[in-house]
Amino acid sequence: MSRPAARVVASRRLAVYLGIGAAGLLTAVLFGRPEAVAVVVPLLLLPALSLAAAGSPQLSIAISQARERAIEGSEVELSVSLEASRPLWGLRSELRVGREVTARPLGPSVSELRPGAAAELRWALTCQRWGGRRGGTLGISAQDRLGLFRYHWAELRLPGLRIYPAADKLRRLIPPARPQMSAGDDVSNLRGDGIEFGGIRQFLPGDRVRHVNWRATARRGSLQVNELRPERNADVVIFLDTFTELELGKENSLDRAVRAAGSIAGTYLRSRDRVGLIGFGGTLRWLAPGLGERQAYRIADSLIESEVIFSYAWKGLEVIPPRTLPPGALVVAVTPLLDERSLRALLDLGGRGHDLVVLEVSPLDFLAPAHDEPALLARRLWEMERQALRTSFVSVGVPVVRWDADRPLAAPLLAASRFRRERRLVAPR
Amino acid sequence: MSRWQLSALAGALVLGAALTVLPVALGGLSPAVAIFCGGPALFFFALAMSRIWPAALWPALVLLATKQLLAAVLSDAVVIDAPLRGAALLWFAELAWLAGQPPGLPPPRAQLLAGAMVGLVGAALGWLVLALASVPLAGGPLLTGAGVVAVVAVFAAFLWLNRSGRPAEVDG
Repeated sequence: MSRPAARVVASRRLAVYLGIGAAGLLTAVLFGRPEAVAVVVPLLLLPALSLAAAGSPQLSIAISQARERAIEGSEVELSVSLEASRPLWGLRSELRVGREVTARPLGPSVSELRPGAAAELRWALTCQRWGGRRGGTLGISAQDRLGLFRYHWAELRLPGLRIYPAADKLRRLIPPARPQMSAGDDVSNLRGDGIEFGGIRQFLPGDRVRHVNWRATARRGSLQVNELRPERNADVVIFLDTFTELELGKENSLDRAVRAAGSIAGTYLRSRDRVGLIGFGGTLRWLAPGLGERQAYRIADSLIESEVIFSYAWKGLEVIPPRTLPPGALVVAVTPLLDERSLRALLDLGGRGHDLVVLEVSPLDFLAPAHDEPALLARRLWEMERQALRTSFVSVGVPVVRWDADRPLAAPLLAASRFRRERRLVAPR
Repeated sequence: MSRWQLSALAGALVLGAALTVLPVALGGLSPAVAIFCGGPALFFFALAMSRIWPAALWPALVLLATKQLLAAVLSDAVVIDAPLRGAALLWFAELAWLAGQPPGLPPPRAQLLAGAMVGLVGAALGWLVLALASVPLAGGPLLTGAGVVAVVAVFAAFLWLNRSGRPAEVDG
């Protein structure tokens, strides 16, 4: 509970009363007319009484917030408990919480404070957009009984609130081309111990008898054994392009990219895969691949700090720490495919044989519609250029899947999986 | 505007009209001066109450007060109802200010009562001043000095308030 000092502000009413009072007294002295004093006495008496009672009242303020972390779209309750040392009227509060959050008052409004009786102001904070809100400010003001003085308690710090992006529910993810050696949910291309059926071959010395496929043996006349595929986990690196963002109305391409990255990372982590993050933009942020819930929080915390920082500096793959991109890791790039630097880096990754999938956050959703003929022609040319760009990725075996605003995230991921299966980059499921 | 605010507005309107008309009706002021001060005062009052310019209440009050002071100065006889005019001026200002508050607030009974009491006590003090002034006391310079000190004190308070903080715009 804090007791900040109040700033006392005299109202304009007080100044006007005193001004008229002074004019009346001056008139009385100059013209020798006591009636002028009699006219202004009531107007002087009120400020005199108010000034006698004025002084900075003590206000005890306790601010509490139900949670420090929330998901986009959820509500968090903020309550402020107030206790005044003397009666205060005309209580007003002003909450400044930034653009990620909107505040809605809860409960009855409080306009008076009585000594010894705590009053509570409550708001429901609706988390509109992901982000690491540093906390807003609260301003409280109240007046004395006669309303001639107003007391302001400004810039009271609110607790911080970390808003995580709302995750889409994904049932199937892009299977990695080269799973790692630890056990997991992905079926490996390799043959070995496992549950998934991988094929039938001739019995060899050392094969276990329980792997013999008796039906195939009877049909072919020689001993045949089942081949199995082991279940392995994968290293997945989310490559988030933060060089550029597009905005149309309340929609923002970076917002969508961060939501997609969060959903993909969360789903892989639930499948016991190791997930890392590279935020590739004006500033480089990275997280080495890791497992479990702790890593999920690390990734979420890193994602909500994502922002587009304008920079002319040329960046390539050499700036990414090597341990962030382990050999054989599946790299899922979430990008609007607009900045030359990220395009070069991704083509470089694909060219070096990294297992790469590009999820294109469609910039078309953020373009104002073209109306006249030149604009339509320019749009067509631009789209053709983008198609050529996608083809250049496909030519090095990298699928580029477009994610439009009206499609669920699962749809482009499914398309990427199909592309990889058709190219025999991954084991069929 | 809530019900009590409408009542306050009606009260302020009656008092404002009375303060405009009475000095002329009672013969203390010429109609030209009354129109010169009272007309703009009522215009400003209407501006403030229609919330077009809420702060226009204060020029309206200043004009009405000027009119009462002019009536007191220009009158040949002792203006015996001057304290009542002062109280009416205060009640007018308080009621108009309350009527201009944002809607939805509970009726400020304590403030209304305080305003009424201060007006009555102020009027009583005003009559006391008039009564003291009618007593033939010697020592004029002493009383004049006291008056000058009072004027300087009020001006000093006025300046101090202007320095201590910007007057709040919203609550008047």
